[in-house]
Amino acid sequence: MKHMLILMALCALFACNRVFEPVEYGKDACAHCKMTIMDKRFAAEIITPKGKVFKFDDISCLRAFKAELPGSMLFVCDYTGTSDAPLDAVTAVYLHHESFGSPMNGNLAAFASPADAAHFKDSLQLPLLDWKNLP
Amino acid sequence: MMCRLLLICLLLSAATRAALIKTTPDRPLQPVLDAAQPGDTVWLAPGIYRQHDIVVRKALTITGGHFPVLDGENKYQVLIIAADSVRVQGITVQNTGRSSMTDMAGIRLQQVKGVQITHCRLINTTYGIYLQNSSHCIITGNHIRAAAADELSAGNGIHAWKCHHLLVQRNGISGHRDGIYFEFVTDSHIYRNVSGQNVRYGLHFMFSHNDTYSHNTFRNNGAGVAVMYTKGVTMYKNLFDHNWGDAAYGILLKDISDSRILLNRFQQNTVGIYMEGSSRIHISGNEFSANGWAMRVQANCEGNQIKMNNFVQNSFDVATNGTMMLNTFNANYWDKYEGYDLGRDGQGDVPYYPVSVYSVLSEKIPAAMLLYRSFLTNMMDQAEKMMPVLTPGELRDDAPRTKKWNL
Repeated sequence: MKHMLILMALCALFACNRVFEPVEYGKDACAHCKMTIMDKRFAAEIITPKGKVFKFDDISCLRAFKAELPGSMLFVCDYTGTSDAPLDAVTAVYLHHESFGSPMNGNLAAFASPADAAHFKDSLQLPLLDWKNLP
Repeated sequence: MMCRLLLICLLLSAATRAALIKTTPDRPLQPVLDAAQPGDTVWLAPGIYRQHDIVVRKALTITGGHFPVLDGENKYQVLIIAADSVRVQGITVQNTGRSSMTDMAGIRLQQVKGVQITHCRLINTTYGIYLQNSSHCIITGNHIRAAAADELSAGNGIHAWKCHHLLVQRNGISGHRDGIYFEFVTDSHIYRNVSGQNVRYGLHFMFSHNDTYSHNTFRNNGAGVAVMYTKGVTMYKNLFDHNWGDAAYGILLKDISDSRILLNRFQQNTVGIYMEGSSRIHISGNEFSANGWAMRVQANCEGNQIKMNNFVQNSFDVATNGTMMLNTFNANYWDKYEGYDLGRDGQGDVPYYPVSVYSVLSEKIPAAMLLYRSFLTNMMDQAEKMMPVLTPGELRDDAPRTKKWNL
């Protein structure tokens, strides 16, 4: 019983420790396309339930990455770059347009809230997307 | 005959009508360009022109004495070419602005044909020369340098997007994100450029089919060349030198098919050629020397032919991440080959297995590299040679050369 408790406590501890690992721009390579991650506006990250970290240079690379496990944490970077903290991919809102010119041509830009995206949404006349209806 | 004479007369008269317009730094350039007739030459006197967003709307030749300087004052774009058959030569463009929304370029070509940019200097520009929706353009002999102090916001030296039939030759490019970047560019030729000290790649292809690059030097870049999601690329007689680093390659091939890699030299790269998801590529006549890995061929590659290459002084010749091997290795020279040639026909009598047991191990456990070249490792290597267990048995060269190819 005692062992069980310790084990559970340990599990809980590791579960809490799963935080976004900062991307080293210009050094880290994308786990999917092997390109060096250079662009802060499009970087993304997966953390698996065991805590293994995969970094990506484009949101489309994250989505194409087949090793994603249920229970993984998904992060995307804020296109506007206003906050250094990454966004939860599932709650972020997205715009899709050619003129974003992302590294792998996925051309998805992530924003923290509809208000943040409003400027681009209106000027490019785009529909706002969420994680479930990404193209 | 009469017709031809008439034509010559017409051409001559047209030629004589083309005027030479001289201008100086204290006059705004835009009205001068607007007043000129197509075919005229605008000559800039030496000096600094602090002017920006200059649009060329006619087929002019823009040139000058002693590389007159167009300065974007770190805020603006400088020269925008929006007419066919413009020629720009012998000028300096420097200090463009930076912006996250628009790609600021020193010289921008917008939907044009037959433009030539020759012997210009582009200093400290975000994007040096930016070609957009253009065709049949020639970019020759330019000197493109950026400081790349702020590496992340840096742009590319020569950036081409949705173009076809370009010729990019004899340029020197350094300090950018990618030296040359081709996105949706077809039927183009990249020839005799020197691309070095760029942060990401010396040359980068995305979705660009049927292009050729030859006789280029890629030195000391983040990685040499990345060719991705493309088919029909010919790469020959290039030098890939000293591309060191964690994610560094001579060539990174990802989802490429029906291409040729001929007569290149790979020296001192972390990985000479990295292949993933690539098929039907002919790799022959190349020299791989002093690389960490000469080649890394992922198991999802198929139908590639690797023959008649020299593999010399590489830590590992070939690494792979699976046991399946659907590629052909044939008649390569391997300096680690320890077989014999009783027939004396220059062909080894026993096959060579280029994947060493240690490259298999380090593929699975990267930290195992610590023990590389230890006594235990040598023993394992010898044992594996007698009875292969770990290394893929199909990955072998049945006819290894005993003498180096003279390339």
